[in-house]
Amino acid sequence: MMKSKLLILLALIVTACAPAKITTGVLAVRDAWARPAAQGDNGAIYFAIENGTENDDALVSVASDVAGAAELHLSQMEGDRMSMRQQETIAISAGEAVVFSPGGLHVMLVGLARELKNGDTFEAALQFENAGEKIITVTVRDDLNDD
Amino acid sequence: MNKRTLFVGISSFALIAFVALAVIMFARPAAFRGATFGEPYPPAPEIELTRSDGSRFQLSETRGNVVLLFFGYTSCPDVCPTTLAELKLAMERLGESRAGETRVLLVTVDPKRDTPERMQEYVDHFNPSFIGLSGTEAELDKVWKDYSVFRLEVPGASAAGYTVDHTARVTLIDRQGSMRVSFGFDTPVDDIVHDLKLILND
Repeated sequence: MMKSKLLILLALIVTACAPAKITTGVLAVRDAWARPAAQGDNGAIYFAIENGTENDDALVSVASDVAGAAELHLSQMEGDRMSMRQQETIAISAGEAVVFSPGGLHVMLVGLARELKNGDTFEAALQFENAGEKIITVTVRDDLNDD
Repeated sequence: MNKRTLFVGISSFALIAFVALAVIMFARPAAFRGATFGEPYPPAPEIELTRSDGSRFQLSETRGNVVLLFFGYTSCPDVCPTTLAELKLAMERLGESRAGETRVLLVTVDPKRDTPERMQEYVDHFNPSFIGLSGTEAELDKVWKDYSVFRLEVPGASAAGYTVDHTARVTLIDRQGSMRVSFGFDTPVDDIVHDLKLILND
């Protein structure tokens, strides 16, 4: 008797603590930023994608005038070893968010056509499987692990 | 009786745990936040490479200064610029005089693309006092081995050509040329500054 009550309580706590599904009805891209970088160098764009729709979606490609190519990449640390691999698509399940951040998922800008200076903004076009094209504004800034 | 035994058991366990924790936390006054090298501190192996002006660089010339050593490559879009931006901020937080006693070195893991000129041009974007170094594959091979740096060219479909998997750890070398602390990729800037100050005041 005691045990079953405890189990119910535990189940309630677990349910309450589980991240809530995003139910905004739209797919949104937030907080897009890129680190300053020199013309000709490579750069990276970071952002958060929130899929508030009821359909699973996927980011399939990115394009921007600031670079010769924009590619989806994933950096991963295995102990101290950093590896970076190009990704074909990035899945974003219905109701979930996927965060692109330094040392993880990023859009690699290959061959910058111009310098990215602190405070600059530029546009990028994100192509999603279901949500179609989203044009985002990317702000150039230094965002660091600074807590 | 049973309950009492349990109570005594739990209390003594808690006391032991508390004492153990206190010993760990307060035994060493100078607690570094990065991963420390044990005593005797290992001497940092000599590095002999080329600077952008063609002159030779020797790590032993930096003796008397504190050194932050990182391995990376200039085509790297994510981890390397993040680390260099953090080291740039660390130097700003450290203040001019102490930053003046610190040398930040970036050694390439990609000699096919990174000439000494290219290395310096790259680090100049972060802080012109940083030193970018390259060399022949044989010279670099020795440095990578001496510092246990893993690096692997990975071919792929990327427009950037191949990418390079590599060890991403910053090593802190003291004024006497000994390796003291190292920092993993996720280390907060203030932890690096904290440890730098301890070493600079050593």
